[in-house]
Amino acid sequence: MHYTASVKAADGVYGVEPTPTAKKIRELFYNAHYVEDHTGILYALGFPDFVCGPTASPAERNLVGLVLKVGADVGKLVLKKRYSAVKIFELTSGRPSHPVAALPGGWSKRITEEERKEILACADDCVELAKLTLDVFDKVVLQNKEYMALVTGDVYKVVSNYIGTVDENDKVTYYDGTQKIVDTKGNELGRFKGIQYLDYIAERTLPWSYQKAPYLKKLGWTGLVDGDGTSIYSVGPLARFNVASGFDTPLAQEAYEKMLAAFGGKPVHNTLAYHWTRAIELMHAAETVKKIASDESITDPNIRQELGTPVGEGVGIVEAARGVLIHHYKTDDKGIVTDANLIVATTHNKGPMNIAVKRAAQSFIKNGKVDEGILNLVEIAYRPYDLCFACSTHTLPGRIPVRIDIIDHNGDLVKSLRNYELS
Amino acid sequence: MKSVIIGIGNPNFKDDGVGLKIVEHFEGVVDTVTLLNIGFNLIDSLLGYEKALIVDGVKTGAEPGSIIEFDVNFWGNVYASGTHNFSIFEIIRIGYSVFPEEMPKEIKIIGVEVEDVETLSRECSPSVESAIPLAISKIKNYLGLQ
Repeated sequence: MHYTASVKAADGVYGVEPTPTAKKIRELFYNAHYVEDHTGILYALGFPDFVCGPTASPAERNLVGLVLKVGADVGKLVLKKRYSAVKIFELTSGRPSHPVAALPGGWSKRITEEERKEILACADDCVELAKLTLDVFDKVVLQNKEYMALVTGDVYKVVSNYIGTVDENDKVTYYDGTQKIVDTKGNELGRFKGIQYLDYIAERTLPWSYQKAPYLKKLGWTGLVDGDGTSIYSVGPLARFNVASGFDTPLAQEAYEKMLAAFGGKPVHNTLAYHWTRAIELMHAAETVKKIASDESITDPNIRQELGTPVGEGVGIVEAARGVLIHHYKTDDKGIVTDANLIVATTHNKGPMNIAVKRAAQSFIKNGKVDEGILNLVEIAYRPYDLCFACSTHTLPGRIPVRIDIIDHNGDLVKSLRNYELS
Repeated sequence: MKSVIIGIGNPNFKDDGVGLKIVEHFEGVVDTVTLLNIGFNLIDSLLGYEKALIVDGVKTGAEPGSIIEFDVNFWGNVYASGTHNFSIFEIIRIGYSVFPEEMPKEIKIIGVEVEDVETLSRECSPSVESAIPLAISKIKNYLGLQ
């Protein structure tokens, strides 16, 4: 996701637009990545809370536990078909992971007709994977009254504004488009592209956090509070659902309408619905891959623009799987970056996530009683946002340590819970 | 025996790249794979091999440069819940659950204790750099390449 935001910013630095074919290949690559990313998040991190139970022990509540419940055959099918998305990365970007094809103004790897046909076959697998995923979600969550009460209830709910990317028809899109803002009631507050983000988003430094807290500039800083009038906003799959008028592919649109009917309208503020919208987007991305791969013009060899002297500044904005991602670079006359600003989805969602955790903690911790099950019920509150801490977890054991301190009204520590062992 | 060596890490963050540096020594000798992060791509890299060796930087509290070997027994102590990340052990466990016939019969994980994984540099700390020959020797021994 950063790779694509970065090359779009680099386009801006050189003042070029990619050739039409390069743009199509980038979008194909990007949507395939959506398929792979949403699959991983749903099956490894989202579904286990439901399939294995929200208060199951961490030893059971994971993808292995999920496979045990739904069957190894389903697990095998999911991972095999997901690999088709990875194969598309390789065919479009030269490598199955860590692509090496992006260039300012273009793309270095063209697609042959033989490769296009192979991508098309992989796209069918991606669509099948999406159908299976929507089916699993339907059986596991939608048909379970207890879980639906959690999904539609008030505990996992944050009333915020939303920012998401739409195309010229106001439909959800990921690689390119216009960033649209709606308020807590769904009224449009504005739209921006590129460097205009500076007119709409401000970042506040907080004394207690290394992470900045973005807010809607025109509404002013209202603090980390939700409800009508707040200036905090959310991004990600649910935000896209809330700002757009639907999807431009048939099966995703069908799933969108089903969710819209279930909630009786928009905006939906229930954070567990992030998982539902993620499953819908998996379908949308798969269908988009198929649509682009069906276009024979993607084999055109004209995939790179000539570059001139850098103009010195570029902003690349994409819809990352977990929300709006902004890369903003300033460079010298050789194109060397002298200043950079990145606003990633986890930063945009800082306010909503803090509120989500607080609300869950206040709802589940009663009379000083706290246990591991409650720890997970709080984790569930922020997991839908799919926090991106991967960069800090490249070393073993590769997981996020979480500690929760329960403080009473006098400020005294009642209990401390953690999901890691002290060495 | 069909073998693969998988290096995990980010080459731009000092000691985090140690696994990748070690794997470089085996390119052209056995199949090698480098991964910047861990996900289902680890399973993709393991399927079809009989023996696999994973090399990564680790933080266990030992002296920087220490070589720490992990085996399957470590998996039982690893929690699986998370937000956006996977652990090596969980991913391998998933691989064995879903593809019992296609996963390697033997997997060993060689960890090199890191000192600094936050500084932007392509060079490892001296203590970690000096551990590379020993790690290579252990891998050669394990794969019968001595």
